[in-house]
Amino acid sequence: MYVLVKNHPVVPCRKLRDYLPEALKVLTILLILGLSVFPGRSAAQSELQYADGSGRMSYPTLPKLSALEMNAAKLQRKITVDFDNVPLAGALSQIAAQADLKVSLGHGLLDGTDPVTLHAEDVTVLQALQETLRGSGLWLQISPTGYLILIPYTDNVTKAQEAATVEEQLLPQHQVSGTVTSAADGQPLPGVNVVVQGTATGAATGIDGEYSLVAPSPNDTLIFSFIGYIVQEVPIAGRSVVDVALVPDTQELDEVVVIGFGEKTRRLMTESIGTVSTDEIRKLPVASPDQAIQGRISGVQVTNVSGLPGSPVAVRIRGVGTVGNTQPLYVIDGVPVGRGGGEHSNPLASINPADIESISVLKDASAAATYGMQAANGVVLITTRRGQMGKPTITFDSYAGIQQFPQLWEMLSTEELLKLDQVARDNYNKQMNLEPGSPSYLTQHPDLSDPVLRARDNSQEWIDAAANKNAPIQNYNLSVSGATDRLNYFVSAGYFNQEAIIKHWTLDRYSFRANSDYQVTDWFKLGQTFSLSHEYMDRGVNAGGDGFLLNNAAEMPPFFQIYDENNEIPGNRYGFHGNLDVAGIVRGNQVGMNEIVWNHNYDTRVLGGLNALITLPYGFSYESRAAIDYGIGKSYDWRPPFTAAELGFDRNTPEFNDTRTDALGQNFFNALRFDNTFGGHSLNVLAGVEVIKGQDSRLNVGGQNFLSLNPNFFMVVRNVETKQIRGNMGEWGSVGYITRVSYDYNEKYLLTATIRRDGSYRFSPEGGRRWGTFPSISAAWRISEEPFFNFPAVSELKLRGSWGQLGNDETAWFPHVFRLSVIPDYGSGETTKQAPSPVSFVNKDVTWETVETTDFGVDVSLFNNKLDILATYYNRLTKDFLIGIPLPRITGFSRTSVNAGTVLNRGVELEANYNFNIGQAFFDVGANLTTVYNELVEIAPGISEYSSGNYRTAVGYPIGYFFGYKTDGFYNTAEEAAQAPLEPSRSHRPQPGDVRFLDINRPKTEEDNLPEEVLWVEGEPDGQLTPEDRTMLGKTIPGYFYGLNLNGYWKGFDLSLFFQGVGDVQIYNEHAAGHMGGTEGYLNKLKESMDYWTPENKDAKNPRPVATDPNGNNRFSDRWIENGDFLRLKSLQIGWTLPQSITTSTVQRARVYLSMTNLFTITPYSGLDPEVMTYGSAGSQTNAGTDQGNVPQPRTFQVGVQLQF
Amino acid sequence: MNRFIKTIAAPLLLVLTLTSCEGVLDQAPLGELDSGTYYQNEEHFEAAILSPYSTLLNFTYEQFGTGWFAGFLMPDDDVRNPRGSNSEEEFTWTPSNGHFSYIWNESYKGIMRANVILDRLPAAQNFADESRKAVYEGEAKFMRAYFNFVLARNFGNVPIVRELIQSVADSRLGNSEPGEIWDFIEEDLERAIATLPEDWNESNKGRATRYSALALLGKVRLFRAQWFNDNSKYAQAKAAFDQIVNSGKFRLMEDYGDNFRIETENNAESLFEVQMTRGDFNPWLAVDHESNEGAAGSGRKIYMGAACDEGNCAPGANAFGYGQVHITTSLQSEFEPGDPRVYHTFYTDGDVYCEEGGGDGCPAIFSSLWSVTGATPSKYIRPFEPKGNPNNITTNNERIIRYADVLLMLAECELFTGNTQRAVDLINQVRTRARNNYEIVYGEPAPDGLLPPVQVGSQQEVFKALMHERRVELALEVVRYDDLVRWHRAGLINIKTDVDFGNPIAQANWQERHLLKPIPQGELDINPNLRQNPGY
Repeated sequence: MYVLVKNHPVVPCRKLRDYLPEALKVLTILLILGLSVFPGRSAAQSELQYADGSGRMSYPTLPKLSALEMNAAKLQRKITVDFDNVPLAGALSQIAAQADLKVSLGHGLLDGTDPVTLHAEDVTVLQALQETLRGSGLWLQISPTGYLILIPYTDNVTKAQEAATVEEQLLPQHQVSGTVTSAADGQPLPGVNVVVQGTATGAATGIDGEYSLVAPSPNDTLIFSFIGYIVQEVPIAGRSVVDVALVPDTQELDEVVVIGFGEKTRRLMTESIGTVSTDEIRKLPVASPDQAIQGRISGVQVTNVSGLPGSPVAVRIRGVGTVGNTQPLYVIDGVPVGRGGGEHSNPLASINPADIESISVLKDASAAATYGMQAANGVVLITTRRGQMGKPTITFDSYAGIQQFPQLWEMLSTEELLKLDQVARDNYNKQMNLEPGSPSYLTQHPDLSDPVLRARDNSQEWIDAAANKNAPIQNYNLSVSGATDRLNYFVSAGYFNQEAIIKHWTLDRYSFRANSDYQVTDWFKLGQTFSLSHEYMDRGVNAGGDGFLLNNAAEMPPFFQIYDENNEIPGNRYGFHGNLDVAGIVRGNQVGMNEIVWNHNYDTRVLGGLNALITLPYGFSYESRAAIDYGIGKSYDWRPPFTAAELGFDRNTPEFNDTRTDALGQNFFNALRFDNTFGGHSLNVLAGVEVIKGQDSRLNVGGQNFLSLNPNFFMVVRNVETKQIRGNMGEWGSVGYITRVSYDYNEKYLLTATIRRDGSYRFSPEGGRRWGTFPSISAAWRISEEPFFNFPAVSELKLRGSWGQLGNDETAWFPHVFRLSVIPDYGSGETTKQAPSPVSFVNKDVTWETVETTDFGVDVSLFNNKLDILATYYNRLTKDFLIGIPLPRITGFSRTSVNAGTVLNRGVELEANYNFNIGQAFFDVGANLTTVYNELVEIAPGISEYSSGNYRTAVGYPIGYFFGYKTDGFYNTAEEAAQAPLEPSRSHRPQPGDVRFLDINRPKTEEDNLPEEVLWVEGEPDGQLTPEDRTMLGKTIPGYFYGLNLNGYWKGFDLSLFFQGVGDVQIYNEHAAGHMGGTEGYLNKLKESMDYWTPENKDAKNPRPVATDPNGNNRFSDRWIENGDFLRLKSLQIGWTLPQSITTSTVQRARVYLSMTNLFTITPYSGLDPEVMTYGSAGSQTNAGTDQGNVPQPRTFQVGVQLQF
Repeated sequence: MNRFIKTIAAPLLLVLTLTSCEGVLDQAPLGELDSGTYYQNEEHFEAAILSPYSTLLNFTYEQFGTGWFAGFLMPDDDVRNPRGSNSEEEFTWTPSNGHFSYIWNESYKGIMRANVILDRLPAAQNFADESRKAVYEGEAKFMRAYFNFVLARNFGNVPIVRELIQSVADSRLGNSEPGEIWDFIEEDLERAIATLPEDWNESNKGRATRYSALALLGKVRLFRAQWFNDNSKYAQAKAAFDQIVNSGKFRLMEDYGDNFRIETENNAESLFEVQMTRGDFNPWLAVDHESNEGAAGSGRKIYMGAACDEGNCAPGANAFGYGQVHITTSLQSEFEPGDPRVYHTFYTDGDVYCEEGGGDGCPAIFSSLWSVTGATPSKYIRPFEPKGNPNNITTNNERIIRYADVLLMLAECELFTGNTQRAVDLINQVRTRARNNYEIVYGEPAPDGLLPPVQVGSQQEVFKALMHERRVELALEVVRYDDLVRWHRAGLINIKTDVDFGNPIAQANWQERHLLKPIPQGELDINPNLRQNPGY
């Protein structure tokens, strides 16, 4: 045990004057002060200000109080208006302000309107709006997000609102009523416009979604329109009740998108941001939020490391710009919670996906710039749900299902394996000229001549014993939510349970959330989020989360027995007596050990915070937030004693480890905002500071040899012979100053500029390495708003572009400090003494890496928003990229972090969405495609290209490409083999049936006249096979990836299909390399191993079997590199929403569904699953793409029910 | 009041928050020492000086013989692998050989640890006794020389890391000039000899002494004489060895077995040994591994313990002994009949393998059927106990240089500088002790004529006797292949024709290139200035 020492001196807070030299911060402060002290506008102008900003931006911490029901209720609020010749825009804004609504003024619509004079007391907001707009030729619609949107009468909408205050229409001919609901979730939709086609007759739905109107004729057609939904035309066809479900328009321009430190409507966006909505998340039952974005957003590639519960997920946004940690930053409700996807587990798995309102992925520099030095790999913003206006809503969601292996390996039978082994030995003895009797002559173990043994074939049984067939998965969620005009709340509780498709691996997650907001006074709002989750994992031998039990069980000698009735381990029927010393094999019974070994992990996480918003005069507001991310973990690892006789493997020392961890991250954010409009000029400014600090610690208590194996003894580590106590801790911190200015002119010309200055604790304080400044700018031009633009088919055409720089500080901590460990120790005399020794190479020069992103795009909406197309070109250049390079071991160290060069990622993102209907069947088809071109453009002086295992990184190639020998079939004759290039380090020449490795390079000569650093001439053989003949064999970053969505609704039925795929990528099938082809040995191999070279079978898959592999046939080569393209039906779901005639009055809505995931995969890849990420490499691409036989993504069948009360 | 809050207080608050503590950025690693706080005073160096030594543990800790045993012992003609194949044994050496790269890596790690001491020592303050600095310098230089000698004799003209490498650019060192590293080793050892103490007290036993350095220096010079056919080095080597002999501090232990027993570590015959003090560690992990604190034991017991052959198994086979090392028939027959040193070298038919209470299957008599050659090692292992906790590790120190080795090396120097008489006398000192051990081992006086003294004869005859004596006295002490290589280089023997490896494949595969090991390919892949040894 050693003492924790905090070595750094306490640094007192610095004073303001210390910052004076730092121009940026001063500017920020001046800007804030200047704006505060000198509002610079007349009193008349100030009357025009909007209560809550112009609506172009609001605050992420300010929840959306203004969902549908609430908005409708706001229209009923009683207000007093007092207008005397006030411009229409001002009048509307003032009414909206009193109603806590936002106004989106259509462009040019207010030109030429008359000022308003109106005095009214105690009227409803709706009445006030009606009176104000009377005679203007305009009407307002209310969007689900709380915007009042101006619409001309002549549009395809209604005059009906006004008609209500005028007297009702004459000559009623056909009374129609009904309920309008959302097809996505069955919720009633208030405020939907219903008009009779070709007339001015219409109505709007109420809070319960009901409408009622009188149509001129029973043969008329009703038009239902609502912001955010697709316009629907429904013939009355003589009915008196017409119920309609509207289909959401996912690419709606007025969709509010969560951005860094704010919100923005999609129409005003200048940045590249992809989103996934709550509807989509709730449809696909996923275990963690990062899985919810898989295949949904262009530019975002998501790869599951394995199909096991809680396994890490690799997320790559627009390629790989760093050789270090490539995971994006995750921000939950405004609080950065780090890079998701740990090496061996997934921290995001603690977030209940059902609590998520939306996910935004910030892809370009402009979008992510507010996160500065943490944002280089993109940012994923997760916003959790808030209560919506209306009476309390109780929802209950549940699903249950089973998971299966999509496929399993086929292994050799005992007979096949022993035959292969014998052939390999025969070939070896022959090649080495060995005679029987020589101690080097290879023979099969004498035990294997036993006919009983040879007849025993458990190859399939071993796999079956490791697999958990029809592993259950279940999920329950209950939530209560609601809101009044001053308070909203959302409370939820969930339970999730998943067993792995291998034995002894279960995940339980309990989650609880309470979010609320309270409008204390008209200028002060207080909000709160709180979530608590508890995750429990129960595992056996796969404590590290690797899932290699399956692999280990599959390769057990097939003549070994799995079970033994006479087993000595109490309560365990697995045993090994029947196998002990059979064939001289030392091999633990993996299946048995998995049963008796414990690895219990408990992780509890609290994430929560308070935020306050103070509305100030002149369009200013002040926001303050404090949040924590607190996690505690506990793990119990217990390994009971067992002997070789019991399990084939001797570990007679019982061992118990109790490890406790805790981590507290604190986040403080303070900002001043300004939001105002001057004529057509809208300005939105954010100036803030974010301070993050945290600490973590770990304490481990372990013991060996207990007096009793009763858990009461070892769980408290007492009565133990050998005790061990260890611990460590860390602290971190960062400071960021953020300034963002957004400007638009008439919502036509849009501009956003952001700058963040960040300091990271990781780097040396010397030489400015600690602080970085990250600027960005983006602009957009909505051509479709120009007067000259006159293409009715095109409803929206926007050009946008951005440029900016982001940082990445993810590297080894404290590279500038020479760290010592007390771990190595040495005996002198009879005692052991700690011998502090350096554990890190010092590189003081390390600093952040800079990603420079340029982005151009076009957004097009066609045919009344039926077809939306989004196309973006991106170019990301990572400069000074941080890399842990392998150091020559002569330094005494294996690697260090350096800023090592420039990486380019370039590509195109395409998204298209099309809505159409065939009668009452509505369809929504979406597709996205992303291309990635990745190349190391330059490498810093003093660092050359380098290999690390089977991967190489070199200029002109993608990061971490496969580097090895090329092959060309086999040597078929002795003559051919004699011609083989000489391989100096091998003692044996190739024989017929051996792999033909290609000699492709030669050393340079004087005549070549090549630069000094070039040592080899490529493409010219020299007759020698050397390591210099290795070459590029493939890459791990896909050239493209795509997703395809199809949603259909018909009456109460819905169907959704979701495909996902990648292309232009290679996989190193290490599992095949280790389990195919013939060397001697009794560990089982893949079935294809029997297809080996003989003089009669020259087209075989594998070379001749030969013991010890003297030609290195199984060495890393293109034999093991496979095409990793795939197209997968990720999910298929069929749902049915029960008609309200069936559901009772207490149950507002009931939906049942059947969901299937990973139904089929089309791929040329021969392994179990082409979705491959090297185990332990989720965070880094430098050694990704190796298939070690991970557990594949399970095929699941689930049934679910969603109820709402 | 509201107005005040709105217009003044809130902006002021923001300004205040902007001046928040940037102190959160001033962090340092916790729970660790770092260069800012360590290497300051004598106490620090007293602890840190052990870190180069601790690297020694890594060579031999491992149950699969990684590094030391697989890389150095296997290639020689005293042992062979069990049935199957072994690339170190059979000279199918490739640049990707993990055992060789392990030796490379650990040697340079030890050099780094020594260089840190040398780098930080001059600036350190607060030494009660400034002369202590010289001692630390001597220890660091001794350890650096030791590791450089490992590198030089295995990998040839390797890069010389003269001081701590502190930048990536400086890490691309190329091969050294021929002979350069040998000069460097000698310089270090000469400085160590000048500064190291003659002795350490009980609580510091095991640290390098002046005599450890003299023994290593003599050995280095002897190697140089033969590697480079530089006869002047014999006399220099002799000078170093003679200082040890003349000091009178060392003697051959009466009981040959004391050199291999845990109870008699650091005895009067020992010049330097690796201090193994703890066995309660996880043998599956390297000692430098985070969760494996503690000076390790040796993996020799499990690696070399008998296992099975053709289904005939020793007690606790595979769990307590992996049977990876078998005594070649050529070594078995090298021993003169009745030589009691056999007892502490290998088990063979009829030996007591383990005794009552030794564990499952005990007592047991050794059976030659357990081994592919009929004999497995007993040195350091006897009495074999196929039990214990942990069951496969021994904390028995690994002896690096002992006095018998010094005497035989001195004999070689005398022989090749023309003093045949003294050479014979020195050899006979070793033989006499061996003869006297007959009674210790077998409980009865040695039969007449056992291990008769070597007679003065021609240089060739005495050299033959010397080769024989080194082989049997020092068998399994990981010096044999080095001996063969230096004698081959000196033209005294021809490995290809004179050595019986006990393995036809090894015999067929051995070539001149195997005098050196291949430089690890991973090292060549990242260091453009480094060249592979010839023939690989």
